[in-house]
Amino acid sequence: MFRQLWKLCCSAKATIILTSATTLIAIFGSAQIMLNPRLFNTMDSKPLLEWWHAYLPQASYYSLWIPLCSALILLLGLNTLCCFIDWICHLGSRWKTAGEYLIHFGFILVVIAYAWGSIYGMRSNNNSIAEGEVIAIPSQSGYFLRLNSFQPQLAPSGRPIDMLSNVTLLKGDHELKTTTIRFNHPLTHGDLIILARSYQQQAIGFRCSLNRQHVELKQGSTHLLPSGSRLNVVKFYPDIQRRGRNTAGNRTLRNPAFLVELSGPTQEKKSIWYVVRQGAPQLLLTAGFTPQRLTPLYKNYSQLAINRDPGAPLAAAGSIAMALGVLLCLRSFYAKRSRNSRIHLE
Amino acid sequence: MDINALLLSGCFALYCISVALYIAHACLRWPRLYQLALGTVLLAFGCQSLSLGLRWFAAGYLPVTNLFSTLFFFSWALAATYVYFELRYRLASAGLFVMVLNLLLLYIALPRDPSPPALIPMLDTPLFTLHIAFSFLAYALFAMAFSLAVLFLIQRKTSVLPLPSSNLLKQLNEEAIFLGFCFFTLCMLLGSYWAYIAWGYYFSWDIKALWSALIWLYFAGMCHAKFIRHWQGTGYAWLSIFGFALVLFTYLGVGLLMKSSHPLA
Repeated sequence: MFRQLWKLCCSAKATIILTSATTLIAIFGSAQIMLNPRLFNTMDSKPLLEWWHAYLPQASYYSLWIPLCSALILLLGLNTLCCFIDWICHLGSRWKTAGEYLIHFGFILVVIAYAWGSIYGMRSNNNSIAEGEVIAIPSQSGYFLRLNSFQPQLAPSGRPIDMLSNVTLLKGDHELKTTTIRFNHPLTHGDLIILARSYQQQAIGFRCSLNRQHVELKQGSTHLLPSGSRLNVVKFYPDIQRRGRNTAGNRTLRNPAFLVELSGPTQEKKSIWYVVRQGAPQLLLTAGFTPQRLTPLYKNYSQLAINRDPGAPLAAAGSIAMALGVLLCLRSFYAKRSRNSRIHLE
Repeated sequence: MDINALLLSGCFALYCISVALYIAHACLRWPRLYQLALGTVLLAFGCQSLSLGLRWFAAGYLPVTNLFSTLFFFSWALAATYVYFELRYRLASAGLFVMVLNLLLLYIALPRDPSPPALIPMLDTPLFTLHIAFSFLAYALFAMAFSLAVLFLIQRKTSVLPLPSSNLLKQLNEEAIFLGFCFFTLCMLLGSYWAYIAWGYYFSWDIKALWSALIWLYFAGMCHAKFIRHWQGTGYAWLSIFGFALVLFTYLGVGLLMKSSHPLA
């Protein structure tokens, strides 16, 4: 009974049935992807299990092929594992097929790696970080990322060609790795991978001419006015909205405003709103604040993707095994052809 | 007329002549015609390789980033596969089908714009070149397997054409599938590694990647099917034909009928 079951598990027929069934279900699945692009286009944004949990309520029917396909692949992995164990048990007489079984072994590792990554992995796509800033690595407590410098490379048309982000990975205060991330050159550390995704610019103030001097009005800047008063920029808002009182809008430059403090030798500190479109308020004008030729001042933010896939090193090992297997297979195939040896039929 | 255009037209004309010579050989069965046809194919392949090399040198990367260049490279890979099988096994008229397919690919490619577009930064890596080269070599071998499978089925029905024995056709079909599977495995491994360093994951649920995985699984199954007595011969031939239909759909159908974010869709 056990011997028959083992024979079935190692059978090439079982492999054919499982690969054919998976192929057919994946064809059906691809049709579902085509018919429901909004739903399935998000699949790469999260690890498979997390995605399935997140979208199950709206995709229970359309996404049933995914667990079915996964189950078949796992069964195929099991079938491959049985074949591999069987081969190990008969290594003495079957060592010439090492190439084929290295491919089997590699496939098993890749299946385990993908399942592992799908369950315990993490994907975080939009991590905006400015030069000098430090952000915490999502789902990885104690790990931080610092952007040392950022340099977008633009084509004459303005299209970004590359984005060079010099970053340092930190564990607490300890620097683990410093590298420059650009397209096809991510930062990798264990199962962590950090990639350049995009970049954005955010207005942080205005450059202007003030009393015949070029100055930068931005958070923290201080300016001496002709009246002897001191102007301190407390905060800059790219988009201010007036709902009873001034509130911050979004990060795009629409209705910019400064919250400033005016202080002098004879006067107390006063907080004043300077909404750029409305011009400087009377109190600031009296103090001699007459900014001219205002141009926005931008700061670049690098947008990074931070992924963690605990199965990735195992998948790499599986890939190496498969590649070696292919090379050995090619060698043994031509050796067999030259010997004209026959293959064993089931 | 620049040298590249000359080489393109030259290799197309030479492939046309070789097809005519193969047809003449199939009808008249003169050995001299076969030698002439093979010589013409080799000359055409030389022109095509030179043209590919010049275009590669001029672009600075393997030019496979638009429909013209992928069709041209597919045609080159098909011709290379044919030359391999021809020189190794002397297929004679059995190669006619592949040459006709090759001509068809060139015929579709020639009217299109051959100038390679600017390379997007993501594709600027040797992994891209290797991924593409192995992928098209595998496609060409699957096309060869398809051609041999069709001939195997014809051979069993009629003996009008001077075809190799059904045993040799079966053996060559298996060899084409095996080599195609090996190259496609390397293509998938390189593609996965590239995807990992470019997007942070080695398997994407993009429709082209899904179909590529599906092709790999299908041909992995086929590599096992040759060990099953029931699937020998006719069954294997039909599997090869269906397999090539899957390959064609992945290469052309996915890009034309479905929306894919794959860089080469």
